[in-house]
Amino acid sequence: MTSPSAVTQLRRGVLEHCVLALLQDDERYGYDLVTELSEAGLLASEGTIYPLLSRLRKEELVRTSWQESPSGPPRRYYSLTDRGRSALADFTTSWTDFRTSVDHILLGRGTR
Amino acid sequence: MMTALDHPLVQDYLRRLHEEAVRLPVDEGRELEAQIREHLADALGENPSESAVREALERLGAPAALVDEAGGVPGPDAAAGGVPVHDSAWREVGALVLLVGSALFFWLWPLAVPMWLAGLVLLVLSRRWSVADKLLGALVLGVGWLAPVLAGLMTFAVDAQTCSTGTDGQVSCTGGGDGGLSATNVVAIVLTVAFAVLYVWTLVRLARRAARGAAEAVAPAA
Repeated sequence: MTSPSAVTQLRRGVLEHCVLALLQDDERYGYDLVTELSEAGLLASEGTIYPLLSRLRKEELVRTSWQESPSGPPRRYYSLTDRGRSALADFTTSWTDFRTSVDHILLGRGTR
Repeated sequence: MMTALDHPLVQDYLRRLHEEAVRLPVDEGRELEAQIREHLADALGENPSESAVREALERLGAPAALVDEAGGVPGPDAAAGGVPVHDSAWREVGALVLLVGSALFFWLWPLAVPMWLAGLVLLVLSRRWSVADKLLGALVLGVGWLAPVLAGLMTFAVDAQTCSTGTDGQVSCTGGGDGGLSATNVVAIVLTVAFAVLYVWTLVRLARRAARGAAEAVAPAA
């Protein structure tokens, strides 16, 4: 059995960059991001994404703009800044190395 | 026709979120509340069923957890096991009372100056006001006890000038004396009134901000 805290910590560690990755092609609004991350099993509770988005905005990795919504109040849309783009590129490289190392240890042992 | 945000369960959730958001700086709390309102409007649409509302709120997570996630200070409330602290607005109340007091007693400077200084210290130490609130308070309420004095002196100075020139018998002074109110008098009066309005507005704004927190410090027992 996998300890739930290990998964929680992994999720926590990658969530920020998964958000950046979802924004690399399109700007999106909060609920749209939540739906996709939730379906991918990356969100323990949906609301936690919002403080994260605010923090990313403060760190100037994403920016916000307002657009009318058919369903209620105007929505804030999030999009990637240049800084966000380069943070995402850095993480993608690190992640690939990390995943290779972990796979090597986890799977390599099993075959020996 | 009922929108999602009018649903009683949603209203209750938003109310609890608003209470918890006291633990965040004002701007961040507002942003979080706005984000959650948008989320719920998108998630629920119009006329949502009760079960849909319950599910959406459950998926969102408890208000306290969201505020924790946003870096909300645990605060004395949480440390003391959720017992609300009733006197936590003492800094704000003190700052307002002392700053207004120092303005009222400006003519008694041995009293006014210490009150003024203590008021400014409490203003800076406040936990319920944002930096913008504090700046506004310092500028309007902090300088406030000087402004009426200066305006008063200005009016006086003009009067004195008309008098002295009157006794000198110089021709140049008659313009000011005849017209009743000189341009300078009018400007001084307008400035004084404008400042009084600004002063009251600032006072009300800061008091409401402080009270918002105070009401909530008492409420969450439910």
